[in-house]
Amino acid sequence: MVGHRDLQLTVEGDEKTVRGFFRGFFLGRNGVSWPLFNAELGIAHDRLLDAVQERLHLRPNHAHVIVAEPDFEAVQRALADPRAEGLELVSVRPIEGCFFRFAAHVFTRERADAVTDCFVTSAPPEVHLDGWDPVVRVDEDAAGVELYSPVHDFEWKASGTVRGPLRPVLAIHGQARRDDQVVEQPLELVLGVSLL
Amino acid sequence: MARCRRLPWLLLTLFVVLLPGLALASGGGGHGPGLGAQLPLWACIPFAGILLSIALFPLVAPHFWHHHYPKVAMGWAVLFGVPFLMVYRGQALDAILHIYVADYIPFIILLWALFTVSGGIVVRGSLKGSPLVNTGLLLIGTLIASWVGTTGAAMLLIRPMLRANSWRVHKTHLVVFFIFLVANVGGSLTPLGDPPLFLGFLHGVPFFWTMHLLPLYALVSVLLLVIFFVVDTRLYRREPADARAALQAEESVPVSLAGLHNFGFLGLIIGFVLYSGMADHGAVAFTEHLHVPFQNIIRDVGLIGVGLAAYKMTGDGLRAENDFNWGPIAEVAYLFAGIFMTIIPALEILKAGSHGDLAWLVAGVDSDVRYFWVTGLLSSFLDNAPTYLTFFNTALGSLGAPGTEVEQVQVLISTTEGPLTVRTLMAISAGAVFMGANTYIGNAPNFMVKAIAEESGVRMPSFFGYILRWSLPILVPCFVVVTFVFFLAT
Repeated sequence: MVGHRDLQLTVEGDEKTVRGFFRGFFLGRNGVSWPLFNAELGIAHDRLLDAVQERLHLRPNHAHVIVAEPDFEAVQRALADPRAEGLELVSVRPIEGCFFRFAAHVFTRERADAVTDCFVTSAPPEVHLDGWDPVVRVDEDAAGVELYSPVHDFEWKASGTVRGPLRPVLAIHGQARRDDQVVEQPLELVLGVSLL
Repeated sequence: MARCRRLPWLLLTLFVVLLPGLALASGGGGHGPGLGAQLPLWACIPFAGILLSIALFPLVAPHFWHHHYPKVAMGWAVLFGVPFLMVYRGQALDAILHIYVADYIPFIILLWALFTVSGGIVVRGSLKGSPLVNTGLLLIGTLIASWVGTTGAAMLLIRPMLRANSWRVHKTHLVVFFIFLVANVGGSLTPLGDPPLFLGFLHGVPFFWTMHLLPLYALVSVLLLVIFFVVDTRLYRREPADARAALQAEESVPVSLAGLHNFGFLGLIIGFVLYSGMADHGAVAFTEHLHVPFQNIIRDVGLIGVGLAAYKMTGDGLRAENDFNWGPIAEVAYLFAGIFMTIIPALEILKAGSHGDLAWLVAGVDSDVRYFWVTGLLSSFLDNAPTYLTFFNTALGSLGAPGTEVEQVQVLISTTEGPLTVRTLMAISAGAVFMGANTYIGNAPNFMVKAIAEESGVRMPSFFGYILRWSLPILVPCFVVVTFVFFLAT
């Protein structure tokens, strides 16, 4: 679905039911494209208030699903089908872009290279990295293990904000989530006005 | 090279603290029983100072500490040692010579021998880091720590543990439980396991007496292993499905041990230590008041021989696989040179019991529960070896039994009724060993494990994060259970 816009659908209904519905629907379409679920990807809520209200069951649950724009019409039809009881499409907003903040603290050159590769070297050109200014501290005298005077001979810290289109930023966010020494904030979506 | 440059500081420390004393030796003076009653409480300030330096400098000024700890240790030693010798002359000399010859030198020799031997044993191969495998690794580490020392066991197993789990995202808990079990609790069964227990052995606690801790060790170990298994299983299920699938498909390299001959040397170390606890060949008189049992001299010479033989017969390649260097043992040598000098007033005052300036402490710590928790909590934030020695002497001071220290220990461990019994020593020993796990600074291997894990890509909690997220919710409830089962229920 490269080249197409992604849409964030907000569907009222039980989160697991929504996921089951969308997975079944896309499998039935031969699995050419696939929905993404905000909750699984560590995508932040649009507003903090939404998260609090949902957690406290003060309003019906809203599940957020990302689908490619060409799939939207079919999804909309399916959700409108009376058999999709209990699920209601609440909003459809185009995803203009997204970003997330991160901080890394590693203790070997190899690890520093791996983090640099993730955020800089391997990042596609449409992804922008703000605030990238790694700080290195090398103390050759501190090589080896210590019991009482523990100091790393190599210490490297970096932080920044990754911005860009959803799919490549999502890939970098996913990579960061798999690195224990990278602390990444939830992905935040930049959304356009509702298409409904 | 850095270690070599620091050697003069160690020699200078020993020179400064020992030679003025030797010069005074001709003046005699005798080690009178009243030294503890004469020393003021503020003489313990350098002891508190060196322990707080060890606790705080790695947190607030790690690079300064790394480069200057020998000078700091020497500074505290001199601050106490010189005035002590000037005022108490012969008595001071006896106390200093006694603690260095009877405690410091054997202590360092044993740790050095264990470190050298265990540094030559390598675990190779790849394990698949599942909850069952990880629990098994922790169990093995817990079982061997009492025989190779907590530092040795940690050095031996932390890398295989990290290798087995390198594919995982959630690894912090593995290292934290490794610190709990392998670097601390596991060392509670023999004097070889943890430095406090070896100090107890040097002060007359029989080698196998520490087996009294078996029920406590078993209870805490089982509790922690069960909790670990549950936590690890939950986190394992949250690992990415593709990573788990890749792990299953990965071809595993069979696990093997290299440097097996070092287990023979380990047996010799155990043999020499056991021998020194059982044989009685009389004593060699170094000064009028300093008599060293001949079997202890044989033990120490034997341990040096074992260490040298292990070093010669083990290829550098094996040690390199463990990232072995002399740094850890040099740190112990420097810092404990300072600790053993500055601990003298605390020990003497505590031995004086109700006649010393710490009579309030002796009177205040009056039950097994209090011994367990006070020794433990102080061991959490100060090094557990000197803390053990402090409360060991508090107990002997409270006991007030006549005779030598060894005779007093015999009275303590054979007493089953009254305020001070064999359980008191169990409480002190368990408190010192177990609660060294409460913080990174409680026991020497904790920091080493943390640093190795961080260099392998594991995000370790901060000092306070470790306490708040792991020690308080997991360890402390286990110790509360120990308190109820062993110190309140009887």
